[in-house]
Amino acid sequence: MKRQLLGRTLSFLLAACVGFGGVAIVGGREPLPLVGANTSNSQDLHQILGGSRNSKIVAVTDDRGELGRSEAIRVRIENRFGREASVVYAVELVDELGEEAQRPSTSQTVTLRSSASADIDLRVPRNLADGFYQFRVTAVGRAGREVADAGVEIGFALSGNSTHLLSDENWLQFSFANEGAVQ
Amino acid sequence: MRMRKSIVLVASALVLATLYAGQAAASIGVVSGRLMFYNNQGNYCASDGRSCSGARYPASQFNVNMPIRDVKVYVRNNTDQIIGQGITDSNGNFKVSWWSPGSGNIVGNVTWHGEQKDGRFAIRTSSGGTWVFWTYKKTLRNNATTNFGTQVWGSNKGPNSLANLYDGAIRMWRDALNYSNRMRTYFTNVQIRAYSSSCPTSCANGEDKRIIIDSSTSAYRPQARVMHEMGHIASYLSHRDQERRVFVDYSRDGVAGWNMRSAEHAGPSFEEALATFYGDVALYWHWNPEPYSCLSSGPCPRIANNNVETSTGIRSSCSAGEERWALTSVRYLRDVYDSTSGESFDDDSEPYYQFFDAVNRFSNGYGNRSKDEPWDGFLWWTWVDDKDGRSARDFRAHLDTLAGISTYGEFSRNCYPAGD
Repeated sequence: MKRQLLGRTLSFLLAACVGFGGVAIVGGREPLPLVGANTSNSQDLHQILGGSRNSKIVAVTDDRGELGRSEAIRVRIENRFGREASVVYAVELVDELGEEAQRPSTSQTVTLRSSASADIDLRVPRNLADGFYQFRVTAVGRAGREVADAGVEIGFALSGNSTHLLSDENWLQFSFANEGAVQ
Repeated sequence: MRMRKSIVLVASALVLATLYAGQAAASIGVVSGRLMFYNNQGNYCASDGRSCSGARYPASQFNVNMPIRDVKVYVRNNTDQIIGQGITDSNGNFKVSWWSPGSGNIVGNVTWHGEQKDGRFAIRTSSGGTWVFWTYKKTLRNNATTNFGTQVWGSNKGPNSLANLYDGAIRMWRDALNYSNRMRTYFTNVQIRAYSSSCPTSCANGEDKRIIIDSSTSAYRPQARVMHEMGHIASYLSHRDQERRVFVDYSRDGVAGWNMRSAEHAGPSFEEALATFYGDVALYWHWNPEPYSCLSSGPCPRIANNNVETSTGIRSSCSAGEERWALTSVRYLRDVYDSTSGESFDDDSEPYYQFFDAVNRFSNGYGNRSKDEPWDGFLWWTWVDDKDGRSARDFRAHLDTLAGISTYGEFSRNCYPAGD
């Protein structure tokens, strides 16, 4: 099993180097260019409509791509309530089969001033074997009676001394996350 | 009953085998099983004292395994060739016959691809590729039924976001759009692409029948993401000739984008309200007295700002700009749809399909009450001359004429939504 995991981790790294492997994809096409949502363009004839902006509390994921194994993965929590808010966040770490890789933890309540942010450093446990893992961070903020939540899921591949951050799509394509389990 | 179905399926397979017998030896059989996923979607009706009568998504369905409904199922052989195809039922159960050249037992597995059984929508990759949800291979027995048991995607520790996304979409279809004949005719082959950060709030493109879901965490916020975006596609396809222009200027309040309480131009504000309302109905049918709408991975907090039944009142009771909130138009639409309000002005209860048919009454053109009203009729391809065009006010005119009713009460007690 361990050899199999390592093999697929290496497959991922190879695919990342030479282009998109697409373990779980058939018949893909190149995406058509999309004009960003929420643009201010009164002449706009394109057909893109965007969803509601997340206006109360926002979780911003790490987009560095590759890190050293000892480096923390960073998530930023932003207070957009427009006033001081209390924030609590939970961190979970699972492997690609959804098994717990670290005990879940919940933070103490953090008070964030209006428009302030807090960085969360997610440390990868030293004893984790090479393979695919996913951090899940869920933050809940409260300002008066208003409550809002935000979350990020950060899939990553551990290989040797490196941590490779995966897009949501790559996490599902390269890991076992799309495999059914017999109940 | 189940036994009888099995016998019929195996018999059908045997007939197939007989037909092929003169040509070559063949293995045939049936696979059965159940597809489920760990449901982690928010926006359920919480058990905190609020009324969940008429709520289609009760808290009891949250954080438990739920069936993967109405999805296409494929049987594949050892080289991944598709050798059989079927669908799941409303409980996630499937029975699919397969046929393969050769003889004896073969090795194969079952996959599904996030494709609604009737081709209404499909979950695709960011580039339009096919997601494959797979099971381990096992021996498929010749002339017999092979049971794959209950296969579950995700767990309480690691939910599968794509399976959750599919469920949000199938809820939208089964519990909402499916009740409009117009949608049954036109809502087909919609691609829901997951995931792409090219659109950070999730997006819809009616012309291409394409939805972009921005991230896996959006899959757990169905109401404001996949249901809302499917609502946009439905709105687009409701229009005459199943096309219209899209006006996306959200700059009126000086902040990019929109939310339920941002004061926007009346055209975009109403379009967001319509898409939201279409989605909300998938969660709260007309007799629910306390429907909520929000962007959350949990239940919508039970506060007035999220309650789409609450009406602020006439204009003098409303906050500055409230007539331009999407929330205001959502409340108007909900009041016209619901059947439970005790408020005297809220006396209409129009069927869901009527809202699609009313949109279809916007005529072609750029004049008042027309579907491309925001644009100037002469320089239509470059010039917007009416940012408050195609508004809730225009919709009201069409709906009242179509249904032979007056929704003035619902309109006036919800801050007179902006428009001209």
